[in-house]
Amino acid sequence: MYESLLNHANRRYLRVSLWLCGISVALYVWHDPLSPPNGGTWLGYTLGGIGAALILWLTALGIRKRSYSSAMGTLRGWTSAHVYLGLSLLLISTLHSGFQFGWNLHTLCYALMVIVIASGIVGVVAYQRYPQLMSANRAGSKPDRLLEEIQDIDQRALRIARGMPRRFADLLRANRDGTALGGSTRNILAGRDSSVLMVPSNKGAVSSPNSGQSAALTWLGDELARSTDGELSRRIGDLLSLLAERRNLLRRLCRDAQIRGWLDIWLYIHVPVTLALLGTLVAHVVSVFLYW
Amino acid sequence: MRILIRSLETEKAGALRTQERALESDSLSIGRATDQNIQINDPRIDLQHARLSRSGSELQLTCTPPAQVEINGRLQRSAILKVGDEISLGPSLIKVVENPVGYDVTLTIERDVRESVAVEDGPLPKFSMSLAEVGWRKRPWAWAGISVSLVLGLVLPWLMVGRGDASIEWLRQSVLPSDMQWTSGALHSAHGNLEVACEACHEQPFRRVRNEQCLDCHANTLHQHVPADHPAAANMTADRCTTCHVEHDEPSNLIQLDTRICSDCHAEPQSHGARPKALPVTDFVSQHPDFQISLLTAPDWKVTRARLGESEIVEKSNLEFTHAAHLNPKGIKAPQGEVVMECADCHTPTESGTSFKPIEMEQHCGSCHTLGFDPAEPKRTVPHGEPALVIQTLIDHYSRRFLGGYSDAVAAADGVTPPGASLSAAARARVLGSATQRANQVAADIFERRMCADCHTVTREGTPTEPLWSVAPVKLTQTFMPKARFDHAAHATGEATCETCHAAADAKVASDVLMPQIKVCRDCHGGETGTEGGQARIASPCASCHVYHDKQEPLWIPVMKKVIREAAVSQ
Repeated sequence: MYESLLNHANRRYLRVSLWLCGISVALYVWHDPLSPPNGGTWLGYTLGGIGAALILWLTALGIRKRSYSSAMGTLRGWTSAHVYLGLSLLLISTLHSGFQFGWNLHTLCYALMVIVIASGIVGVVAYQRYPQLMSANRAGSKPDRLLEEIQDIDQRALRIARGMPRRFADLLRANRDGTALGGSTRNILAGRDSSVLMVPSNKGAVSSPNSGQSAALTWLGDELARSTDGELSRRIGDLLSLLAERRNLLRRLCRDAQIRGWLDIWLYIHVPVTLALLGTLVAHVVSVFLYW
Repeated sequence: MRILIRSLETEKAGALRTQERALESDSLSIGRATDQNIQINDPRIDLQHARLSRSGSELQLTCTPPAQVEINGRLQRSAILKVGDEISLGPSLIKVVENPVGYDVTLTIERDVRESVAVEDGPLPKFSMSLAEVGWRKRPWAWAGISVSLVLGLVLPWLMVGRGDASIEWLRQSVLPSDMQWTSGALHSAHGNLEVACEACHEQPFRRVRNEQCLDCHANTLHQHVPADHPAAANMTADRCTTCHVEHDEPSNLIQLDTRICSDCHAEPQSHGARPKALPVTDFVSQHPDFQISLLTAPDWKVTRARLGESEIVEKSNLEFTHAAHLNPKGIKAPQGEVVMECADCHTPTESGTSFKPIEMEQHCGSCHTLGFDPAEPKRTVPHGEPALVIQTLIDHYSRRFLGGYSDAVAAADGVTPPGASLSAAARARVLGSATQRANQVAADIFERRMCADCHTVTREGTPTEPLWSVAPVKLTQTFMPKARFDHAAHATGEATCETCHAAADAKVASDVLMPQIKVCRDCHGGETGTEGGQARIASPCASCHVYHDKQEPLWIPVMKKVIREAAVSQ
């Protein structure tokens, strides 16, 4: 039975995280140093140590996830703890800083940490929502199969076009050749169909946007309107049905890539910025004692 | 209805193999799912693609939307079937054929040969539909991130710091981040010129800032935190400057005003070696003893300390003076008529505004308390000085007068010698005698009944013929609270007047001490944060009033000029 990693072990790590945050806040409120709260008071050093240890352990998820034979907890448990303790890190680091920020290396370290946590939150939200949408969209067919179905439709359409004037086959070929999906980050994340169609006209071929087969369907619709031949009209009707089906398949492909893109993109931020954070963290800790 | 299904398969050798299946059902399901009567395992077919059923006497094919089938070359969603119809479903071709005896519907299923003839078959188009395919990478960026941050944030500046001033200066001038990125906050504005010179305090890597770095600049301007005779003085020298003076914080706490640096000891003075009479102090509002004042006391003018509110405090200055009469709102009688006086008439602030100039009789009292004694010569005054000199002045005056030195209307009534007359020696002696008598009378009058007696304590001495008086010397206390800083100018706002703190209008005698008790100050001044007791008042930590980093006006603490510390320290 599917259980979200947020609920793992009866939300054990949510409770751990809340306790940790509660104790930190209580200590921070009680502590009344001679100077304004900062990372250099005894509480500041303690929270900083906890924060640094947290950052290292959170990064270690990348190692645990590749240690297939490891018996040190379950990967699911690690990931559940990763999410909740990662969120608590935001509070602990902020208390460690005493809310003192400026244009310096230390605030850069904090900012990178915030980016990592924010991208992680995007990831958690994405993984709560998108997999279901993806399954519903796929309806049992993987993207490769959808491509095969599109190819099948192209062939059937060309077969039907054999008994029709030449321009129909030309258009169907142009429609097939002008199909363009994905290709750029923007297209993928927007689920954009950037297909084009070279529509024949008396001035030569004109390139029209053919997103969702719109240009092709319009052209066929115009032909149908002009047609006086019953048999031709029937065949045009069949082509229209086929292209409508093709449109649905293209839409499903684009949507699949879009959901996949949103499921993936946060991690492209999360991991590299974590490594940059590690470097900055080391610089932060060393520099604090270098200029003690 | 009774249905016969005949599956035809072409074997490799070309022979046709037939499999037959019969079932009795009112409907026939066709689709990809395994529970369908006719299962066609091709992704183009829906799980429940179509249904064959009886509609009256006809055979009807209905597709489950959005599925469609190709019937006789036409895409349809539903149709009435008759013998000879061909249904193309994916790779399969279903034909409705003549029924053998005993069956209502007969279907043949075979592979659609047209399927194997690909029409313009090309390779599957390859679209870049994942982020990785359009160029997103994790690993190179991760390596770049950690390398750049370590090199620019730590390695390079550290290297330059280690190589010396010229190297780190070069780095600071360049566009690359230098050690200045390691600051954890701005410095206090007093240290502003050190923002670009970290080495001024951070002399050696991994070594805490030492007192020597502070004393590099502050050796001459830094004063003792407390006087050398303070009980805590010995402990103070052991500490690091940075225990109390911390930089790089916001708000800046370089100037340490926290009450705890005082109350840590002063809350329980005796356990830190204080004398038994030292009272505990923690906060101006909640626990602070009433003020002690220093009084000059006649006759030996030793400075004595007295605590306001504890006992009846009198200032023994040997002066007779009543503030109440002088400040009478109806006015006081003066030579020029009724005059309404105010504090500023006698009390002049010093140039700095922090305190007041001493009271001088001639300057402040003389305009009303004139020293003229002879109505015939109102401009002639006795000196405000030694009694013997006063008497001599009187004798001189009347002698000259009686001997005819002046001619005026009154002179004749005195029975004095008119001017120009010559006298015999005996007459002269007699006249001088009268003059001396007159002088003595006037002297008695001004010493005992008016003029001097108005303000001074006078004792008669001498003999009836040669009277003498002695006047008790007057010394007014100039600084009542030398241990604290008080700036009168800062308090001279529109709201506060002299009367706000000093009850002068009620003071009937000079021995009344008009220094305000602590409750007067607490009207406006709160504790460390000013919010104690729920009321918003002026935040007044210890350093607001008490001198720390003592002696000669430290630059960073506004100081009341003329703080006479030594005069007030008793014992």
